[in-house]
Amino acid sequence: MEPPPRFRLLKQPLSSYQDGSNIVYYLPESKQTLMLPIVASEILAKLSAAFPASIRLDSLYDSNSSKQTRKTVKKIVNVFSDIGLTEELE
Amino acid sequence: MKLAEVESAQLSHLLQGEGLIVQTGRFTSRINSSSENISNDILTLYGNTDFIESKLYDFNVEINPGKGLRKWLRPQITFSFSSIQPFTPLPANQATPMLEWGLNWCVSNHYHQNIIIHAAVLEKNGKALILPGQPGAGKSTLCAALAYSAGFRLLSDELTLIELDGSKVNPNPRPVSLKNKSIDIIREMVPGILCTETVHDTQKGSVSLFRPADKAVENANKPAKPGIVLFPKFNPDIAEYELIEVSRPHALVELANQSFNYPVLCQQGFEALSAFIDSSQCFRLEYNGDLAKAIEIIEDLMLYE
Repeated sequence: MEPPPRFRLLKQPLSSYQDGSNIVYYLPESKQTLMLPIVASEILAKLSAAFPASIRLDSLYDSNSSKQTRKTVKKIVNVFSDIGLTEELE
Repeated sequence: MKLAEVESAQLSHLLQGEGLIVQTGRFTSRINSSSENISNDILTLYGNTDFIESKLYDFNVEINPGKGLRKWLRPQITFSFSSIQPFTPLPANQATPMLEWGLNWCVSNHYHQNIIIHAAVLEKNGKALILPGQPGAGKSTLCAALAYSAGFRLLSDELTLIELDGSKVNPNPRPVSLKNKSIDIIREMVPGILCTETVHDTQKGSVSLFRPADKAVENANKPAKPGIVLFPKFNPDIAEYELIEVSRPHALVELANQSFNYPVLCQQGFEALSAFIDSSQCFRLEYNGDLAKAIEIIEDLMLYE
């Protein structure tokens, strides 16, 4: 069985705005505005806390998290990678 | 002295000579034109603004007939801003709509002291009502109905100017541009309202411009505080209406997408919108064209704290 992928934070979004359900990031380099479920802020906080080290995908959710939550976390981390906030390590 | 009190010969002389300086909303524009219809339309649309004798202005624009063969064969009109022509020429009978579209372009491309949203905005009891919307969403019709028949003060039918600290919306009261069926709806709703003749076959369909009420012009320096952001959607197929609350993050993203100068202001723009949204309530209203009902709902929303 392959080990879960690892992710490393490359940079922080500059500004954010959130309510109880969603968070909006402003990404200065691409001048993009991106809205994600609020759980993205927790993921970003964990990636920041680990910086400059990488963090395993399965460390980004609890061991008792539902399958749906795991899927959401994976999607968010992929979005972070797509916009250049994180990199996936081999 | 108001512009309407100036002799038409003097206006034409200024327009064709040194330029007529007009209070076009929040800004002053030096307008130069030898187009035949412009003088009367400026009186119709800006007659209730002060006649400006000063030589200071924000925008220097010209609206003139095409040159050479285009003066005679399918005559055209050109819009210039400080000698730059940002648009392709249009048929000559579209001179006044082109002037108004050009003035909007001047503001949205050059005024970055505020974040500018593509949205109508009105005020009641000091609170702003912002109506962002894609073309066809019914924002201008709703804006006109609120401004001309429900006691709302027009701040702008097209450009919402928000201070960079997000604390207030600045007025830019200029003529309301209505299209197609909306023109007759508002003319019937407000008999005797001052507006230009309808110009057909423009890129936006049939267009007529309506003079803002005196109250809007006289209070052109009086900002409004954040209030309601309402995303209207005209849908003739629904039975009545549907009103839903929109989350602030969703509204923030929609406003950012509809901002003209967000990519210029960058983080400053994001922070302005965040602060503004934080003080606003956001809704989406789908309505079937029943303006009386829509106005009733909006008036109740404006009481929402």
